[in-house]
Amino acid sequence: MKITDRYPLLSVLSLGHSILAVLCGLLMITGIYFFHSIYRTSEEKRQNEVHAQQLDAKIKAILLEQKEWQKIRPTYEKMQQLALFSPEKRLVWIETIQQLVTHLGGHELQYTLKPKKKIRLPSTIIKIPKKTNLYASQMRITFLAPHEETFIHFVQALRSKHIGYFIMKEYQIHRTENRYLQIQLLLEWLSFYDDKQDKPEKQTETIGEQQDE
Amino acid sequence: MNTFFFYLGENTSFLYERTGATIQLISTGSTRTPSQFHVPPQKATSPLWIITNLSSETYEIQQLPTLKKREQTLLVQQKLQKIFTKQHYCAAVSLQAPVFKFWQRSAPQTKQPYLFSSLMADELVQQWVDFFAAQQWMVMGVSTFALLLATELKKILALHQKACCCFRTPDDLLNMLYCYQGQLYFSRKISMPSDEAQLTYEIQRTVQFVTNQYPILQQDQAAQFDLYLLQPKTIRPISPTADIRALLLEHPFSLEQFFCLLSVKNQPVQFAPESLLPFKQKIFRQKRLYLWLIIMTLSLGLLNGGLFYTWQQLQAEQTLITTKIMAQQNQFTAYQATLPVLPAGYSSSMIIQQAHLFDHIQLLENSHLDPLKMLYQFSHLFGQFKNQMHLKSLTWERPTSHTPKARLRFTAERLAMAATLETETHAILNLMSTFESTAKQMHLGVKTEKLPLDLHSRAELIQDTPLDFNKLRKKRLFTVSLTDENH
Repeated sequence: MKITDRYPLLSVLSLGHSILAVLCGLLMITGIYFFHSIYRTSEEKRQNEVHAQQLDAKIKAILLEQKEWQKIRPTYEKMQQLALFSPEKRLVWIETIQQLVTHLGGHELQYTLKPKKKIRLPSTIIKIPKKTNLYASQMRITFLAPHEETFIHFVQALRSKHIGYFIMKEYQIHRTENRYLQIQLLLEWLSFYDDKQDKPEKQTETIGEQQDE
Repeated sequence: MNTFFFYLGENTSFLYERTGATIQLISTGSTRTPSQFHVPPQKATSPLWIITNLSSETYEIQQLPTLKKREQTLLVQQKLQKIFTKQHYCAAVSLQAPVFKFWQRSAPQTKQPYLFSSLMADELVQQWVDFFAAQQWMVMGVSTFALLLATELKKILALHQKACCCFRTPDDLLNMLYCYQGQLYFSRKISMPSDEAQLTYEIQRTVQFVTNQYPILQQDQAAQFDLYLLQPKTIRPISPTADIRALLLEHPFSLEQFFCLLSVKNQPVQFAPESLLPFKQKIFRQKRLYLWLIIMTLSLGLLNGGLFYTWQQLQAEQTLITTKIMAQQNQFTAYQATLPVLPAGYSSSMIIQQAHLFDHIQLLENSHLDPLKMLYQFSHLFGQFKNQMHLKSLTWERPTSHTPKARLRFTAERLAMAATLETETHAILNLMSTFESTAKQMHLGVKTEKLPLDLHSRAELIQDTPLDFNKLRKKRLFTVSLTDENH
């Protein structure tokens, strides 16, 4: 049985038909390709639009950030200088304090340094943002000074050394019987360094104690 | 393209040419001797139909089950081979009248009548087929009046249920067809009547004969059939009371008229064997296929054009967006480069917050009562009294509210011992005024506590009564609470 008997349409096919059929097929393939391309391109376009919007938002954010940075740059540099973003240099503190007390004619230096703790300043004075961690190490210093100015110079010099930033929590000056001024000073060394390995301990720990006679 | 029709009668033969809507007789001659037949110059692309009306044509009507189209065709072919075993030219056509109203589909029937027809004198047709093949005519097929009428007239008659078709053959015979209950029936061939009464009688007799439904006595029922004459362009109903004989004589139903009718209708079923290609059908199919392909090609081309244009537009937009993204990326990188390098583990926002906090802490620290400044001032003040006045104690605590406080205690142990009364008074006044001025310079509010005398009464006492400094000896002179006036 001939194939044309089974499919009579085949017997009427000519060269023109073949060419047109091939052309049709090619056009269909091209159409499918174009359709696929349109789909793909529109998908990419949509993704790029989203990306462009994200970039736009990022640029706006970074511009705001830049403005903020222009404001806070001196503060940030000072913070860097005071090593607020690095681990505490406790030995440097102690050494500097000892040198200063000796240099200013003070003696009988005693100090206690507690571990670093996360602090919260009283809300009536300042509110710390929730995500901002502020740490402080409490340091109590006691020494005998010959004059009031010794204490003044000590604090000013300690501040000017730029070995860290401290706030004075309290101090007491008492005149002793031998006319020396006994100075008790409670400092808090501030830090923004989040040392996760150092877990805050509840009990007070005396790190060092030294008496300068 | 012209179409040729060759009518093969028993005694005579005619060749017609159809050009557009007109049919012309080209040649006539004897059917017995093809060599004597005059054939005009051959046209290779012109198809030729051979229509026979030989007396040796046989019919057979059988009911066949209704099947699918392909299976039905196979069944019909098998039936044809079974009925006409030796005949070469045979064909079958369904007598089922189609329903033209699309909303009135005929109910599916289990059986439908088929007309099986065959030419008994194949050799007569064959010699003519060979003759035309030798003349290089493209023979489309061989057909008979019966099949032509069965295929064409049943459609017409289906529209007019009570219609009877009466036509005159070239052999001067009268043939009648009618459609009854969706089926087409043939009458016997009747000799052309000589007078009207005879014609009417023959018509009635034929109707009664073929239908077997209407006795001759019931003249009125027989008259319900409308007589139709097939005319070249229209089918016009004729009243049965009209002068039928005159009409027939006036409009003799000839081949020309029949061809004209056929030219606007579908093609009949062919008797053509495999060797005789259905030329016209092929051309029609070719053209239809061409048309389809061209329409498809054009549609696809247009569609592709549209798609391509859309794609190009999308790509252009995409390029624009990509360029924008690149520019944004560069801008972002440039802005990012202006930001300082942050220490590891710190984000920019975190540091900004921390810096603001640090600023706040510093501001707070500076705005507080500066104990060192105060101490510095008072140490100089003590210096003015040349070791006669000493700081006893100073306690300062970080304020927990906005009103910082400090407590300052002085002793003036040696003050009373070393000075005269007047000097002492002046010393105290000096001391107090110095305190006040110093505090004013430092923007501090001074509130004295536990003074032996308040400042105003003391000022009066300076002039009148000397102070009893002995009472003050070795006692705390005064305690000052300092408040920051800035808050």
